[in-house]
Amino acid sequence: MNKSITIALVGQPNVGKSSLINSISNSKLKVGNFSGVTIEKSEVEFKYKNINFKIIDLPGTYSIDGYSMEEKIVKKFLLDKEYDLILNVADSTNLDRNLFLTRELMEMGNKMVLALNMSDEAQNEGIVINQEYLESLLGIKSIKVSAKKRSGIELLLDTIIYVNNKEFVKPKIVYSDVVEEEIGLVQEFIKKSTCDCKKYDSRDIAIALLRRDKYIYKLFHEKPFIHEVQPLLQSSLQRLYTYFNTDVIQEIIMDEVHSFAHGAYHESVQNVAKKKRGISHIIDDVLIHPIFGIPIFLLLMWSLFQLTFELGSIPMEYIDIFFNSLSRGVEPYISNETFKDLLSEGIIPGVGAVVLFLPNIVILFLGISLLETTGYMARVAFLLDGFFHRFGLHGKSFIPLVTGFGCSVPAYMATRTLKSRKDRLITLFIIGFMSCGAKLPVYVLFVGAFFDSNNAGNMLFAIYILGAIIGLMMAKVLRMTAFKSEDEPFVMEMPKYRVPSLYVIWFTVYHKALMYLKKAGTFILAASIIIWFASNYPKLEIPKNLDTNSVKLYELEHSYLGIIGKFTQPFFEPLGFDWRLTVSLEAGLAAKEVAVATLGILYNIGENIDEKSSSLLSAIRGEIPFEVAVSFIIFIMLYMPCMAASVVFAKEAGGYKYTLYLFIFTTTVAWIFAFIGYNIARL
Amino acid sequence: MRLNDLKKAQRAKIVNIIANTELKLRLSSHGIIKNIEIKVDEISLGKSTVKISINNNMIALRAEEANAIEVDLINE
Repeated sequence: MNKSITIALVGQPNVGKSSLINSISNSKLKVGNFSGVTIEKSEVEFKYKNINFKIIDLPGTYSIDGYSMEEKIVKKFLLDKEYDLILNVADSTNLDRNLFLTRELMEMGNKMVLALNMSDEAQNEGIVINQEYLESLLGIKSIKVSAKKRSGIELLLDTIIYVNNKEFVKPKIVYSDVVEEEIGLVQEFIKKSTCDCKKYDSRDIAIALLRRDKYIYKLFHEKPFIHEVQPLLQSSLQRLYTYFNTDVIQEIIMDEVHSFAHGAYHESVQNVAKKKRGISHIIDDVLIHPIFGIPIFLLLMWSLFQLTFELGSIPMEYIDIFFNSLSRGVEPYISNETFKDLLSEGIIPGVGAVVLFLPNIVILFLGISLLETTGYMARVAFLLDGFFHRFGLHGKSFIPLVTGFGCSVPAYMATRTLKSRKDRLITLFIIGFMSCGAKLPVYVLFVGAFFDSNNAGNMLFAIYILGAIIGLMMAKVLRMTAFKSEDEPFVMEMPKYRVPSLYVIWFTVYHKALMYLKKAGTFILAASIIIWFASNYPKLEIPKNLDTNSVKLYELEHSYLGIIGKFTQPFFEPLGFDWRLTVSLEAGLAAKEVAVATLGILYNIGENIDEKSSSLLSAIRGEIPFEVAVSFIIFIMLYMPCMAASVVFAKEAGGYKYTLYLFIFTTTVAWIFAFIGYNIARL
Repeated sequence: MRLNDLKKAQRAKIVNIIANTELKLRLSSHGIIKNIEIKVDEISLGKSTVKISINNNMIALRAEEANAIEVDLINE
């Protein structure tokens, strides 16, 4: 018989699909994306009773007939049929709603097994499922399982093998009498007609015609039959429209699916639960309280960011030291000057910069996946949507945006929590306006140069707030222009609070870390080589009698980076930047801290410059007019995120063309606001 | 009356949903359909979002969506 079985795993969100996979097999999940979209598709392969199993975990979806991206993807996958069998996972404690999807899946015309997950929980809640009766109603093998307790798993696998080996029996889908009557009429017409459709079931064709399915029209394309049947179809549909008081066939089908699911539920499930308020309701009394809800959330977020950036800074320090000593350590062993420089000044610091963010990413995603798997993330959206919706954002945008104040890289990755593509893109585009940690040295330098220490703190705070306000404004602008559309409806399940599965959390964090290292690592490596090259080449004859810094200055001025800086300087002329500021802006594209180091070289005060260096402070105060400083700060605040972030952005947004859009968008916004700032400060 | 008009802890029966097909389908896949009984669990600050429960299910809606749902109050 079949030596391999491919299973499409389908279920509504929060039914425990991932933990079911984990209790079925300990094999490693392979995670990828559906082509063209950033919706995750994971696969697992394992052997059981000498059969190769392959499970494809499709995104959780409440229905397959709707308009959301998940729904379309799942439906397309199921129709393309590159699998042997559908494994539908349902939450036993919520079977009424879950059977809605089951009933829709029954129409896919494929072998199917229903796993009634969380059966232990259902039992505790006093929900008794007569599973044999349910099987007979649906015509689908149903198995009670508990992913948490690992019960029923073997029986489930044996059933899958059994169903897979058996001939496919179409599940019996019964409609309401009114609909059945019209199906009968159309069916009769088909039987008498000239259509050469003997190989199809006339009932299937009748239903497809009434549903106005596109494929049926393709099938009978240009056959006289399709025209002959129209008058009958029209009158049938008209009667249905009148009866159901709608003129959209989808709504009638939806109604039918509900009646069926509801009927099956009531006939096979007994709820002997004591009328007790669930624990989730009690927790929600506190966590989404209209007054305490938001402060509690802010406290949780504050703790998470403290952990991310404070705790994360400890390993970061060691990573930094490690890569620094590595680049110095390799120098004596390489005789070729060019290669030595490339390795110790290009590649190693470049890779180091990538690895440096790893602790942040691990801690932050540990926190975020905790928020998600416990069910708290949905509450966050509930609490904050009122505010963010005004700016064309979603309640869940809060977390990526706040993360952006730390570092844009994890912030971009955190946007995956947003389900609507437009919400996600808008959030992605404005994250850069939340000033990241690496911009701080630039701000400190300029604020320190132009304001006394009493005012410096306030100015710094004002810079951060201004960035955030501009970000929210731009979100609104994007929503009204580039991402103009009807709002996606905000109808969101608030899942029951659950103790998270350690496996799911571990896997999320592990996968995020790996993805970051793999993808970003390769591109950032390439980018750091390019930047290194641009600032070190072409090699020239350096005039004698120059001191060390002057040599550096000379080299930089005549490097490709310097040439580009001088060439693009006219573009920044209206903002008051000279070629030196222009070059340091452009060097800051590699990483924002680099802007400070570059300024150090260009304003002639020697090597190893940081923002606290007093000679750099006075040089800047002396050589840069106040209004230019204002416009420079504003430009730094709003322009293109660093190379590492841009690569991650492209991945999350769905292509490098979005990076180009981001570049145009941020440069335009930065230029306009810098120009305004420049002219106001000049007054 | 509309779902928006309900106060916290009130129960009501859905009598009609006045919306386009997309929203109707979305609501329906969450079990929000005609003749179903709902309870308002919580209303957020400024009435921008509302959390309701249906049987074992808890659902959050934005005020715009809640406004599409016509209900009859159930007096207890």
